[in-house]
Amino acid sequence: MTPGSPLAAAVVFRLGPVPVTRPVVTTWGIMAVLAIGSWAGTRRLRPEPSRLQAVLELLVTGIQSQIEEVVRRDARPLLPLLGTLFIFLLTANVCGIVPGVQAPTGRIETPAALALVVFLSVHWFGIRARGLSAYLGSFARPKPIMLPLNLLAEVTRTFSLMVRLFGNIMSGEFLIGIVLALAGLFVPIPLMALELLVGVVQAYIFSMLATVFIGAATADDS
Amino acid sequence: MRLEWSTLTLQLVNFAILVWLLQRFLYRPVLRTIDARRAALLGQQAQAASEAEAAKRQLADLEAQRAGLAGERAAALARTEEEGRALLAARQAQAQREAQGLLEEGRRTLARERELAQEELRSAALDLAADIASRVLAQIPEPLRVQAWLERIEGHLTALPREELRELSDQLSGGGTLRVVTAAPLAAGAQEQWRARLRAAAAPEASVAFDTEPGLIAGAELRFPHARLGFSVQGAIAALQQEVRSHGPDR
Repeated sequence: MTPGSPLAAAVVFRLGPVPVTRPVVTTWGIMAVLAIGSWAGTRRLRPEPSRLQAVLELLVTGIQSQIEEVVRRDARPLLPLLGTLFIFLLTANVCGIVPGVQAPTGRIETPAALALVVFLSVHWFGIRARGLSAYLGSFARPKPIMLPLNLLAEVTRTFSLMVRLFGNIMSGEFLIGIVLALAGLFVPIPLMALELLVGVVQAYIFSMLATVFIGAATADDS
Repeated sequence: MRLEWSTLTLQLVNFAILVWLLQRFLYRPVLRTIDARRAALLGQQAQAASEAEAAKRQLADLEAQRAGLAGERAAALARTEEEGRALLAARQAQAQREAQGLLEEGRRTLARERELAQEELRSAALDLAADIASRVLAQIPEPLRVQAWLERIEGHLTALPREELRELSDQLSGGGTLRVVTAAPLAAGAQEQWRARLRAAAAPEASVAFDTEPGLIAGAELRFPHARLGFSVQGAIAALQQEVRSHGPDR
């Protein structure tokens, strides 16, 4: 990005030649919060669950059931990837509400990385479920003439995943910043609430689309 | 807008690490707990099902036992009823036997009492007859009450077989005395007449003495040293009473 661009990620420090930008640092913070919270929440699991344990069980089983409703098969192999995707996106999208924190998904690299993860995962699970030849042959369905379009769709849908997430989160942050600069301290509060809603919805949409893509890749043609 | 590839790469790595972290600290423990709870529930469900099955089997066993008990109860009732009938019949038969025995005993007692009553009646009748006879004979003059028997005594001695008559004479020949007992004392003339006729009929040298016993009523008794010949009304009545008592109701 061009220097001074509001879309550019600020470099916090450098690890040798590698610049560590602000979204990366924020992501580390989110990872720390999620990891420590998970460790603390699952440290004393009992057969009779406490309130926190019940919330965690509800979160995990809710994500699992959502995945199962889409893929129509055992969701446990997909739970770490898709569950982490949803939890991370939810946390990353709404963390921008914290003063001084910018949502990492408001910069193009994070949505791009997540979209790339989804792109690679779709093909990985598709090949594992159906075999390489069968999976590659599925791109020529229903007619071989559809092969270019299917290949193009693979790229464009991944690109749309990335752009949708980036555009929604980035635009929300920009809008809040502009309104804050023009109107004052408390005026953007409704917009921030709306941004929270948008962040939750985008996390859900991104995760569900990833689930649908993986489900379609692993589905039996018969 | 330019893509920072280093940031993209770091985010890829970060996401992979986050997947591992959440798998390590969130999904695996929670799913393990849920699986354990589900396994426990399934175990409890299986145990409950097995207990329900066992309860069903026990219920079936109890039903079978109850049916068996009903059969045994019916058999026991039938057996008891049969025993009751047999006992009742035995008791009835025993009661009939006892009643029959009592009836027979009553009849025998009644017959015995009737015999006793008849005997007493006869005895009373004989006593009455003896009393009447003694009273009637008391109205007859004394000589007639004795003399009438003298003819009879004399005839009896004359009709005795010679052996018996000699035996009676032998009792008097050795100094024995023939005692003539009458109900009233005989006059001297009558005594001489009796003495002479008895000596003539039994033993000519016999010593004859006379005694009185009012109980003879009438007639006389000849009392030898070792024999006695009775010709009195008392003796006749006594013989009649003896005959009546010995024969009883046959007459």
